[in-house]
Amino acid sequence: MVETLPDRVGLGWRAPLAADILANLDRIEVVEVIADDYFDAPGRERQALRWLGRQVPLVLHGVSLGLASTAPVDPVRLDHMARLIGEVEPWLWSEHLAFVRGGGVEVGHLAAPPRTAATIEGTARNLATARTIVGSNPLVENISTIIEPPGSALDEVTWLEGILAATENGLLLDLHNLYANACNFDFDPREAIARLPLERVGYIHLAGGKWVQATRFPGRRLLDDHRHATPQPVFDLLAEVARRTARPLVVILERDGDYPPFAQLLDELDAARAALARGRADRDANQNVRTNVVATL
Amino acid sequence: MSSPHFEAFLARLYADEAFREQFLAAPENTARAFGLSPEECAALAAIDLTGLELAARVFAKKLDYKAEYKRRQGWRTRWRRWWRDRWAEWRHRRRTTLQAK
Repeated sequence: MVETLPDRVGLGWRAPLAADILANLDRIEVVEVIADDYFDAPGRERQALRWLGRQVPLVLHGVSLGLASTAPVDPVRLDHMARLIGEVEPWLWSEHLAFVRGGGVEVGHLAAPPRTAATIEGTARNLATARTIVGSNPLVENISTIIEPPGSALDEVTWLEGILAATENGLLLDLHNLYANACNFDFDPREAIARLPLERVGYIHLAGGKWVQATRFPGRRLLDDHRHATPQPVFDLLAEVARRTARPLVVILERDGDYPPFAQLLDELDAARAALARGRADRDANQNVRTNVVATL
Repeated sequence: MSSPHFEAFLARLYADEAFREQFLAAPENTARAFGLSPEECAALAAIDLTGLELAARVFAKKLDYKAEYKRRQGWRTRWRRWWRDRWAEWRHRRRTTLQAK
C-alpha cells in the first residue's frame, strides 16, 4: 500500500491534541492512534475512530503485544487487536519489537529482549501467529533501550536484519530510538541505516527525549520520553533515509506529554518535510551525477 | 541463550524492587536459584548496572501510571473488559478446535 503513495507526514493522535489535529488536517497527512487505548472503549468511541479514519489515513499502533519474545504471544490480546482492526479498518497497523511481560510479571513498558537467534525465531513465530489471527502483517518497530539487553549475542542491526529476513513484515524505523541507542551504546546511527534493508522501510517515527542521570551507578542515558522536540540529528537521519531509499515514506511525529503550543508541533512536521525534501534532492543529484558518468563512459 | 524462563527473570528483575536488590547483592546466586543456566548466570553477572538502575526507574513509573489509570476506570469499562476477554478466549478455543479438525 505504502509504495503507491507519496511521502506523508503526520502526528500521533492524543486526546489533548485532538481538536488541533482536526482543525489542521490540511497540514497533517496521516494520524497514528494507540490501539491499546481503544481495546476497552465503548462502541461509540470505536465508531468515532472509524470516522476519523475516513477523514485522514489512520494507523493503529500497538504497545502491549510483546511480540519480540521466545514466549508465545497471547492470542487473546491479538484477538483484541483483530477486532479493533476489523471495526476501524485502518490503513496500516504496527507493533514494537519488544517484550513487555515474562513469567506472569508485567514489565510496565517496552523492554528490549536478549538479541539472540532464539528471540529472532520466537519473534518470527509470534509474527506468524499475529498474521493468522489479525489477517494482516504489522509493521514492526525498533525500540529504544537504556539498558544493554542482558544475554545478547548480536548487535541491534544484525538482530533487526535477522527478524526481517525471517519474516515478511516491514520495519517501522523509529529514528529517535535508533539515535538514543546510538548515543547510549556508542555506535554510528548512519552506519546502522546503511546496513538496514531500507526496501523494507516505509514508515518512520520521530520524537525527542532527555538525558537521565543514574544516582547509584555512574553514567547517564538518553531516554526516549516523547516529551521533547525532535533534535536536529534525528532530522538529519531522516534526510539520510530519504537519500538512501526511493520508497515513499510515512513519517509520524510522536508526542506524549509536556505539549507545546500546537504551532510548534506543526513546525516540527514542516521540519520533517524539509528533511525529506533535502534527502530526496541529494538522491536525485547523486543519480544525475551517476547518469552523467555513465554517459561519459 | 534466551528462553521464556530467562525473559521471566528479566521481567522480575526490572519490575520487582525487592528481587532486584536481592540480585544486586548476589547476582549469580540469585540467577542460579531461579534455575537459569550457567551461561545465563554469567551474562547476568556482567549486566549493565547503570542501565538496570535507569530502566527500573522508568518501568516503575509506567507501572504506577497504569495502576492509577486502572483504578480510575469505572465499572462499565471493567465489565466491558471482562466480556471482551471471555469472548476472545472463546474465539481462540473455537479457532484452535477448527484448526485441529
